[in-house]
Amino acid sequence: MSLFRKVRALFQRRRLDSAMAEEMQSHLEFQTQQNIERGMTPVDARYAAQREFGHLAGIQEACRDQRSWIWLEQALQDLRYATRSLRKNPGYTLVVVLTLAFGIAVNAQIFALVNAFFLQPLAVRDAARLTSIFERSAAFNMPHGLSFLDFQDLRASSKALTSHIAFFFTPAHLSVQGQTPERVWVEAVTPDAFDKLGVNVVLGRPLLPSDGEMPPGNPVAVLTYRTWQNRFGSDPSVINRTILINAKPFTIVGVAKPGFDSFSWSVAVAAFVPTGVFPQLRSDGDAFFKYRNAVAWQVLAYLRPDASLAQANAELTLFAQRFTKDFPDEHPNTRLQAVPERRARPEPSVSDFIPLFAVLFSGLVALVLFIACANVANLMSARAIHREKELVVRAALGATRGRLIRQLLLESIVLAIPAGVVGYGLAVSSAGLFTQYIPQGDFPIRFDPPGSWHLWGFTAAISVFVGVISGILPALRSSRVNVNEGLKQGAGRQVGSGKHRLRNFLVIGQVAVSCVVLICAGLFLRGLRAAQELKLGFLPDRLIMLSLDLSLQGYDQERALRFQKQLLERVRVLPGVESAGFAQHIPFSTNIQVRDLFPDNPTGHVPDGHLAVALSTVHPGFVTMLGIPILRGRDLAETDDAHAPPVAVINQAMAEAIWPGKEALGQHFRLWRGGPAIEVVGLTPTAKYVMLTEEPKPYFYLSFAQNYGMPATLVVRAANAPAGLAHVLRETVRTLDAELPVYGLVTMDEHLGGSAFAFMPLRMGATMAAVQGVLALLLAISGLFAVVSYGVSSRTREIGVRMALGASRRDILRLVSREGLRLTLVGAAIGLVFAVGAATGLSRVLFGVKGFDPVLFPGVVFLLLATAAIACFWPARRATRVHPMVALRAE
Amino acid sequence: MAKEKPDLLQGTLDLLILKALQLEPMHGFGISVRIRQMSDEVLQVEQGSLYPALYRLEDQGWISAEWGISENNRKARFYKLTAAGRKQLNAETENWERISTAINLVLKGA
Repeated sequence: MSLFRKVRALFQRRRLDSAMAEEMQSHLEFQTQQNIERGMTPVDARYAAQREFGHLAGIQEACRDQRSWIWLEQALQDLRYATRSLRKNPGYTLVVVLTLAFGIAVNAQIFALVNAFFLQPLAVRDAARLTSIFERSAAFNMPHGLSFLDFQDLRASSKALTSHIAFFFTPAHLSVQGQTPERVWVEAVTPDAFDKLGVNVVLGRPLLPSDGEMPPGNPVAVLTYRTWQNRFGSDPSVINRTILINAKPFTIVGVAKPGFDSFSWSVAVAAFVPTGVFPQLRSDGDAFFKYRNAVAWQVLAYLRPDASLAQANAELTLFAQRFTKDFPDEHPNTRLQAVPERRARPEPSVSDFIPLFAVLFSGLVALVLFIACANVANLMSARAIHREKELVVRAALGATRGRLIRQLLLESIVLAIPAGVVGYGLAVSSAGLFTQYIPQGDFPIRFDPPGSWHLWGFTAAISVFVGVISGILPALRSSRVNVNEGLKQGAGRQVGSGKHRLRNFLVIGQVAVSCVVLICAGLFLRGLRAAQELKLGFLPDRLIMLSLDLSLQGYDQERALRFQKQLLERVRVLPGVESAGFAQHIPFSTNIQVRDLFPDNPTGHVPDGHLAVALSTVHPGFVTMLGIPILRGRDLAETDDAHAPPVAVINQAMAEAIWPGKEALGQHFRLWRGGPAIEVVGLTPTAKYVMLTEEPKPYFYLSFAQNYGMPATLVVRAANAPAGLAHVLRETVRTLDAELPVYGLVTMDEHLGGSAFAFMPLRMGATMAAVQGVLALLLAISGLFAVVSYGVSSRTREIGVRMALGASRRDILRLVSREGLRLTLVGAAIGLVFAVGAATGLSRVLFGVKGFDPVLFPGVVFLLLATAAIACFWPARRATRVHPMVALRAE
Repeated sequence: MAKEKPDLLQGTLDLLILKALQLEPMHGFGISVRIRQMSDEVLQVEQGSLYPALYRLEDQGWISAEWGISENNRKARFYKLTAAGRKQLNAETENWERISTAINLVLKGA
C-alpha cells in the first residue's frame, strides 16, 4: 500500500466515504434488480438484497479501516474534538496553560543556564580536550592564575599537555577618531593563541607569533566581532586603521569571528592584543613578566591525544613541587591543577561551587514542574467527572480502553503545547529582567540574548513530557468505565475517599508552601526597609558619582592631581551642586583597597607588628562632604601635599584596635617596615564601608597628593535631584579632556540598590520570594478549586436530594466547602511551623530580619484563608444555583 | 464489533477477483456474479470480504477503478486489470497450482 495514497487518504475522507457509499448503493440496486427479475416484489427484492449484502455500516467500516493508518486518523479526530471542547471551556484551558507555562518557563531558564555553563563548548577547535590550568596557594585557597614565567616553564616541558596559551584582560581607554572615547576591556594573549585554538578571523589577519610574546611587542589589535559591529558599524575598511588604546596608537589588523568574545568563557572584551604590548597598556606591566609571584595570567592548554586528565594533573603536581622547591619565597606551598575548560565556568575562581548550584537549582525547578503537573492532573480529574457519560457511551460504541486513554492523553498534550510556547516566551523575556539583578561592578560580563534552538528543542520536549505526565493518571482513572453501570440512569456516584488522599496531601502541601514563601517574601521586604533605614554612617542623600581612570589615559601623577583640582573647581561652581570630592573607594563598591599597616607603639593586639586595614584615598574635605563627622582633630587639608609630612584620618574602630586606651591623635604608623611615619590627625566615628552586615571595621583615609592611585570616583552632592546633574557633569569632564572616558555614572541610591554588598541581595530575595509566593498561592488556589469542583460534580445528586429535603443554600455551601477549608487550615498550620523555622534561619544570615513578626505572620495566614475561601466558595456557589429538580435528574 | 471472517483465504480471494477481471472490466456486483458462475455456484463471495478486497487490490495497484454506466443505465464503479495486475495474476495462478498439487499429493499419500 503506497505511502502516498495512505497520506492522501487522510485528507480525502469525506470524498472517499461518499464514493464508497455510492458504490455499495449501486451494488444493492443491481441485486434488487436481479431479485425483481427472479420474480420477487420490489419491496421483498429490496429486503432480500439488503439481507444478502450484509451489515452495510460494518462493511464500510472494515473498508475504511484498511484505507490509511487507522491510529493516525483517530488521532486527528481526537485532536479536532479536543480543541473544540477546550475552546468551549476557556477558564479551565487558561488556568491549565498558565500553570504548566510557569513550570516550563523556570525549567527552560535553568536549562539555558546549564546549557551555557556546561554543555556549550567554547568557540574553539576541539573544545572537549581544552583544559584550564590554575594555581592554588596557601594564602588563597581559591583558584587563581599563574605567573608568566611559570607558564613558560609549563609550556616548554609539559608532556601531557600542549599548545599552552596565556591571557589577561584589563580595562583600557579606547579612542577612535571622531567618537567619544570609551572605557573597555582589552585582552592581552600570547600571539600564537589564534592559531593554536583555531580561532578564525572574518577580516584581516589574526595575531601572529611575530607580533611579540615578550615585550616589546607590535602595537596591533584584533577586534572582537561584537565591537566591530557596535563601534565600527561593520565597516570593512577598519583594517590598518589606527586607534588609540590608553592614548597609544594601535593598528587594527583583524576582526575575530562572531561568537568569540574572549578566551575566557564568561567575559566579553573589545579587542585582543599580543602579550608583548602589555607594559604599554599598564605602567606596572613589566612586573607581570618578571616576577614569579605575579600570578595573574589565565592559562589554557590542550590534552595531548594520548594523555588523560589524570596524567596531566599528576604532571602538574610534579611541576608544583618543583616550583615550591626552586622558588620558596614566591611559591610557598603551591598547587597546580587542570580541569576541563567546561568545568571552569564562569570563572576558575568560582568553579568549585557552580556544579553544586546547578544541581540544586535544577532540583528546585524540577520540583516546581512536578507540582504544576500534579495540580493540572487534579484539574483534569475534576473535569473528567463531567465527561463520564460521554466516555461511557464511547466505550459502549466500541472504543477500547486504549483508545479512550489515547484520546484523553491527546487532550492534555494539546494543552501542553501552548503552555510550552507561553513558557518559552516567559523564559526569554524574563531573562532580560534578570540582568537587572546582576550585581553592578566593574567587570565585562558577557551577555548573549537568550533563545537558541537548543532551548526550543528542550522546551518542546518538556512540553510533551509535561502533557503526558499531567494527563496519564486522570486518563487511566477515567478510562476505567463500567459500561453496564454507567449507562444506567443514576451515574454520578461518589468515588471512595481512598483515591482522594494523595490529592488532599498535595493541596495541603501547596498551601503550606505558599504560606512559607509568602512569609519569606514579607521578611525580605521588612529587611530591606530596615536596611534602608540603617545608619550607614554617612549621608547618602542626593549623591551622584562618576569614575575615571587618568593613568590609563597617560597622565602622570602631577598632571593628574592638577586635573582633579581643576575639575573640582569647575564642578563646585555648577548650578545645583552643593559640594564635590574625589575618592578611590566608595562605600559598598567592589574595588576594596587593603594595606598592611606597621604602627609605632601599638597598645592593642598587633600580631607580627602589622595589621591589614582597609582604606580609601580621598581628596581633602571629602570625608566631611560625605557627611562623616570629625570627632577630634581635623580632616585632610589642601596643605597635606607631597611636600608636607604624611598624615591620615582614621576611624574609631582602627583606634580601638591599635591604640586602645590611648589617645589616637598624634600616633604614627608606616605602610612598610622602615617607611615614612604617617601621623594620625583626625578621628571619625565608625561607619559602614564594605558590607551592610560587617562588624565595626577599621578604616583610614589618605590624601591623593600623598598616596596617588587610580581609578578615582568623583562624588557630587546635589542641591536637588542628583540625576539631573548627570549630563552637565559629563560635559564638564569633556571640557577639560575630550578624550577621557567616563564610566560608572550612577546616583548613590542606584549604587546602593545595585551593589551586592548593600541592598541588592535583599531586593533580589524579596522579588524572587514575592513572585514565587504569588505563584505558589495561585497553584494552591487552583488545587483547592479542583478539590471542591470535584466534590461538587460528584455529589450533584446528593445536593439535589438535600435541597429537595429542605436544605438551605447556606447549608449546601457549608457542606461543599468544608473539605476545602479544612485542607487550607491544615496547610496553613503546617506552613506556619515551617515559616517560623525559615524566619529564624534567615534572621541569622540576613540583615534586619527578625525571627517572628507579629504583623506579618497573621497577615499572611489571613490572606491565605481569604483566597482559599474564595477558591472554595466559587464552585460551591455553582452547586447551590442548580434547581433541585434538575440536580435529581442530572445525568 | 468483530470483523466477519472471509469464507476463503484472503490471498485466494484476490486470485479469484483478478481472474474474474481478466476478460473485461466489471463492477463489484458483476464480479461476485461472475465468480459464482465460473465456480458453478460453489463459491459465493460475501460483500464483507469482496469490497475490502477490491479496495485493497486497488491500493496495491493491480486493478484500477473508474465510474461508468452499466448495461441498464445505472452508474457504477468499474474495475479493470492493470498491466501489473496481469503479471500478478499469472504469478498467483502458478503459485496456487504449485500449492494445490502439493496438498493433493499429501492427501493421496495418507
